[in-house]
Amino acid sequence: MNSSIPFIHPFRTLGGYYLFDVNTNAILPVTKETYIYLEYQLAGNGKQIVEVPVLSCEEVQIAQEWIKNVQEQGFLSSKRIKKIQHYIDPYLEGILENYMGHIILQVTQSCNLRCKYCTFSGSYLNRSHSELMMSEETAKKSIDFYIDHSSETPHLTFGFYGGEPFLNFDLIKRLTLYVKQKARGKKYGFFMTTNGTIINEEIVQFLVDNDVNLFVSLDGPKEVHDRNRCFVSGRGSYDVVMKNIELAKKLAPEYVAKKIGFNAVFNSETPFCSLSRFFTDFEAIKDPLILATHQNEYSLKEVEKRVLKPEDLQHYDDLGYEIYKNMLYRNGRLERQDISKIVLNWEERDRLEMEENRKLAIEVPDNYHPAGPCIPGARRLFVTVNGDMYPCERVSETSGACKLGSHDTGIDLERAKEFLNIGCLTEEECKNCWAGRFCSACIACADNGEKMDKNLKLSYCKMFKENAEAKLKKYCSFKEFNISTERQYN
Amino acid sequence: MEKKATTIYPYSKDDIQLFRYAKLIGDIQPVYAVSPPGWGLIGKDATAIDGGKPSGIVITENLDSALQNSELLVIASFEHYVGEEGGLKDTLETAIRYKKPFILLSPPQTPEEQIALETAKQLGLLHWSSEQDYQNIIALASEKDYCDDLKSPVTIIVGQGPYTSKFETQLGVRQELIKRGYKVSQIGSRPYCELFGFHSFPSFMFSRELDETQKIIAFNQFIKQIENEEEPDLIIVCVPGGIMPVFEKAHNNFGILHVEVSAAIEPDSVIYNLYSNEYSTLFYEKSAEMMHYRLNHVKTNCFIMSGSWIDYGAYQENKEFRIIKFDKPYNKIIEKPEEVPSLSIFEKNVFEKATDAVVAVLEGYNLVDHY
Repeated sequence: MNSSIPFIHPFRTLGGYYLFDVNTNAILPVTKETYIYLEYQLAGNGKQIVEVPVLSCEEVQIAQEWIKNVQEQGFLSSKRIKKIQHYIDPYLEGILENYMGHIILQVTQSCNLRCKYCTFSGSYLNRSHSELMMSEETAKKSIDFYIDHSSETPHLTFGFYGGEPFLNFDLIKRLTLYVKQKARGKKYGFFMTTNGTIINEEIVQFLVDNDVNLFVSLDGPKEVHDRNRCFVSGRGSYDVVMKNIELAKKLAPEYVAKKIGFNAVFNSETPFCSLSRFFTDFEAIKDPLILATHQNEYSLKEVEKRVLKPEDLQHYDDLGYEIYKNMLYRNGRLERQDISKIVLNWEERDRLEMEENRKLAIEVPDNYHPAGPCIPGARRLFVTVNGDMYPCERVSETSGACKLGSHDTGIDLERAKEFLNIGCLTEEECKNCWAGRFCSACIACADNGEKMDKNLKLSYCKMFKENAEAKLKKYCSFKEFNISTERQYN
Repeated sequence: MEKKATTIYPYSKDDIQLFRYAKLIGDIQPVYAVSPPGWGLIGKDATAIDGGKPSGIVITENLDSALQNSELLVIASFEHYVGEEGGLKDTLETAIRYKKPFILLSPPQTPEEQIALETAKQLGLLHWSSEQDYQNIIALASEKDYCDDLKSPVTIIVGQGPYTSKFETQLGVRQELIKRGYKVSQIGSRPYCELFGFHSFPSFMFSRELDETQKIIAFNQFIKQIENEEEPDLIIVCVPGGIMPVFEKAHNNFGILHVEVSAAIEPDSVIYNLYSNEYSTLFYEKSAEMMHYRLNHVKTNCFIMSGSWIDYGAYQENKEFRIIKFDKPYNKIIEKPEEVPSLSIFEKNVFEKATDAVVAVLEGYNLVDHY
């Protein structure tokens, strides 16, 4: 890469031409002629340009003048990243010593459902269901490890995860008592993710007594939910889940209103409108917290990856319609209650990224790492039934490549550094990538089940760059049409 | 003075100086450090948790057992304690049960805690508390509308924000100055500095009842009174909090307190404690310039880089202002300012070097006798 070329990414919308200036993190509107000139310069790899075929000499001169002017103001620098290194890297040891955030205990690998997309269902590389249960000794040792390594964390957070965690309810009960004793003097809380099929009176009382934040996996209306979330027998689980939510509501209405959220997993098979409408009109709980995510494709077996079918178009038509309605809402043509909560949540996430969190900078530091990796172990330490430690519950716990340590030996610092600096795997590509600030590649993108795989990681880059460009375009289009974000988010 | 075997509870990193500078503290000899289990310190060495030399005293969680073998209890701050069981009220009741005299480092917050404290006082168990009465000073200041000149040179210690090792710096420099034979009057940033033989920062400076001018005059009178009584060679004042906003929401009250203190006492020199980072020469130069203009034309003695670091990423991600406290020097001092020493809290003899810098400024003070 020629070192004199500005480190920029040009993009255009229907109404304008723009540059994303990587060094300053700024978006600069430009004239069509300047845009063409810079594209030409980028394509020419920084060669001195005297003429551009579609531009007059005067237009070239104006473009050059403008570039010179903004460069004097600190924009369009050609500075590149010299070394891929995460900013946390020098401090990682200290953070892992005293600042661990959450711990998630896999109290069992057993589950009474066989969800078709579940990581344990057999659709994923190296992951499958087992009947393994976490021992009390392993769990307590892990809790002790977490408390010992979070002396500076103001709020301790304990998660119980499965399989289906309530299949090991007795252990969970004993562990909450243990936490109460061991976490004395500090704020602490519990959270759980459940399929919702085992909830009974005793469990509801336990949840209330311990103020547990509960996430129930619920994919939408019966026909959607039951398509994937089935008992071992093949029977759908929707009716049982809803009956249990009703039971909880009857026994503890306040708890249910405040502490229960829903995880909805969907893919292109799901009719988006019915999913969205279901949660908008959800009668069991008013205005629930919904975390809607696309099915995780990382580590999915090749044969299980979805190929678009004609009937999938319905999903995208629905999604497009909901996004269109959202635009009308932004323009004051529709009311908030008419809008998909799922789309609203996504929009809020984008707004935070583009408006609140996108701070202007002077330049990229010499040592820099693309956004994406969390602080492995300090963010959401996941401990398996056997006491092995992983950076979070989303990576494959049967992949040796993702293992971070164990409750016996603690966290392997070198391994944690490798995960934190996963961009080193693709160092040259990352150093010259314009989308590093928007990147979300972590080890989950590079894990091939045996090792961190450079080509596998690179295969996701196109998608991340397209997502980044889409966000930039959306943001600028809103600006062009003077569409307020206030109405959207307040 | 005869030392008393002392238990400190609830023990945290903030209380390490009670161990490290025990020599300065009257009759206290810390022998037990007791901490709530949730604070994650059980089983660790009491003075090694910030990277310091181990003391051989291991932090435990059993207050009853420690008290049975102690003569005195230091009740430290419950600011970060969550929960009723084991809180201040329980601790006061435990002290009463064991009839142990105690030192209270921060005042009660609830009526129940106040009642327990009153009961302990009636039993004669309150050995010392941080409560101070400043009514005389406020009354004195209300009769004046100007500041008195100070005769003694004044050094102030300030930090970029909280947790920049200011307290350790105050104690280290004080100890060194006394060792060199200087008579020092000192006002520290914590509410229990009297334990270490100097004055605490006066609470009226945080009052909502006094306006800014009244605070400046009151602070001036507070220091003037100390100067008259103690006739020091040097006055050291450490200002709590931070001198400037670090982020939008971590504004450190915009450093107003620092401006008020400097208006009141016209300091001669400043020790500036920084968060850990890799600073450029330009940064040091600009910082000294900022000190000069913000703190009444003060000269910067030295910079001391602390073991705390601001996690800018956490702020960007979720607006959390997170200060990471390290027990090792993760950042090296790469570039140095040309004229002002730049030190690290982790380096050997850091306070001797800081004291050298303070003394160097003092040596130019009042070279010519005049009236």
